Amino acid sequence: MNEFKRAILLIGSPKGKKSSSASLGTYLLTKIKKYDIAAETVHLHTEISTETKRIKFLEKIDEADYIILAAPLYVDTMPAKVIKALSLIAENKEKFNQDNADSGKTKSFTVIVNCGFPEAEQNKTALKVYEQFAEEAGFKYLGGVAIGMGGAVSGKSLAEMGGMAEDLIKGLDQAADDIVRNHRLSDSVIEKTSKPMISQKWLYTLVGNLNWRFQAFQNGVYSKINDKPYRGKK
Amino acid sequence: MKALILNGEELNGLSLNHISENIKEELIAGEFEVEEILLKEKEIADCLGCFDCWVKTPGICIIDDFGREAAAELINSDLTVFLTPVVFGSYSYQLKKALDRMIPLISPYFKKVKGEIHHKKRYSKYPSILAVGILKEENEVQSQIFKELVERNCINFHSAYFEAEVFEAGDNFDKKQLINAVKVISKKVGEKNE
Repeated sequence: MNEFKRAILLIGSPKGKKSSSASLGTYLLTKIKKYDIAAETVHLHTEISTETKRIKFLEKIDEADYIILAAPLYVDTMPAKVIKALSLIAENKEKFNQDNADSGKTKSFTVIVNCGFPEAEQNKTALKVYEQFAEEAGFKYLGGVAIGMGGAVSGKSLAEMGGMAEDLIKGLDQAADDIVRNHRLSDSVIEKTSKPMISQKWLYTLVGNLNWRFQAFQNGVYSKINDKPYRGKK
Repeated sequence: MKALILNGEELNGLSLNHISENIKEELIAGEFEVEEILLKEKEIADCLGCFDCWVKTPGICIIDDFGREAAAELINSDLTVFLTPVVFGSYSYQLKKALDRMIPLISPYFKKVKGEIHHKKRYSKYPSILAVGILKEENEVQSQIFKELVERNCINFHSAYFEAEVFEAGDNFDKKQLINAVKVISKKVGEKNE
């Protein structure tokens, strides 16, 4: 029954394949593929840069039944490039909706947002923004997965993360099932995916702070890490 | 006092010039020195998400374009105005491309703010924010999301005060309400500077 259905994963991180967004989205897409759904991935930062690419991108959206976006939280909302891509989709909604009406299909939209802060709740404003996009584009909004401590993923495969990602994996497995059934994401998905990957918040921030110091040290700028280059500059 | 208007009108979109002029007049009357950046005319690349502005060139984005100048202007202002079409309850691409490039202005280090973890200040002083969102037609849900977003930004940008208002474009534009919002935030910023 599902053999003609297509899923498209949109990666909203400029870091592409090395991003937490790619790790999370790819895991979910792999699970969706197991339901005999054709799937492909589009990196928004490189695949809407020219008119030709934008036309191709819109064709891919048009062909998709399940649209999944995995993106980082930037300044409490979507990264700029994601706004550009989603605006492009919303501006072309008449075409999609007409096609859907002909085929009797409704496209669904699901989002995974991850932030570097420990609290998954910090993504909640962004989720509201994504829901508005779905409404404007005429897509069925299945819900959003909010993930904190994105820094713990940093492009790693979830399977390699061991017990730390156990709840996250269970939540995404269930999310795949919900998406394929065109159901709103279940409460267990929201609960499991929003659990902190490291139970002690202080430990995550300590490791994070040490990591910044270490990277600055490696780059020879440890003593400059608190510099204020624009102080008093007009 | 210095005010910076980040005008985020879209390419081929609704002109926000008249609204910007209204804001500017009121700010000048409130003794602000006003600078406006029409973002769509500036070369500002998208943030790369690399964090090199924290660990390689601390405080400066590695992309050498107008994004650096915009960041320098913002941190040296007492009030920054976000003027933008409301897009899904959020900001326009033009405004957001600039805001994403403001990350060098904060520190990589974490600290707790009202029970949540955020990044520490890099500078001792950050501007207050006046956010003016423009909708083609009334949308209460998106107006609320917009205000919530600005409030969240104020935590992350360490702004002392903020005001956020959403207006309908065209005949229903409420100039009085706009002037009032400018007056309210100007007063707060002025008192803080005294």
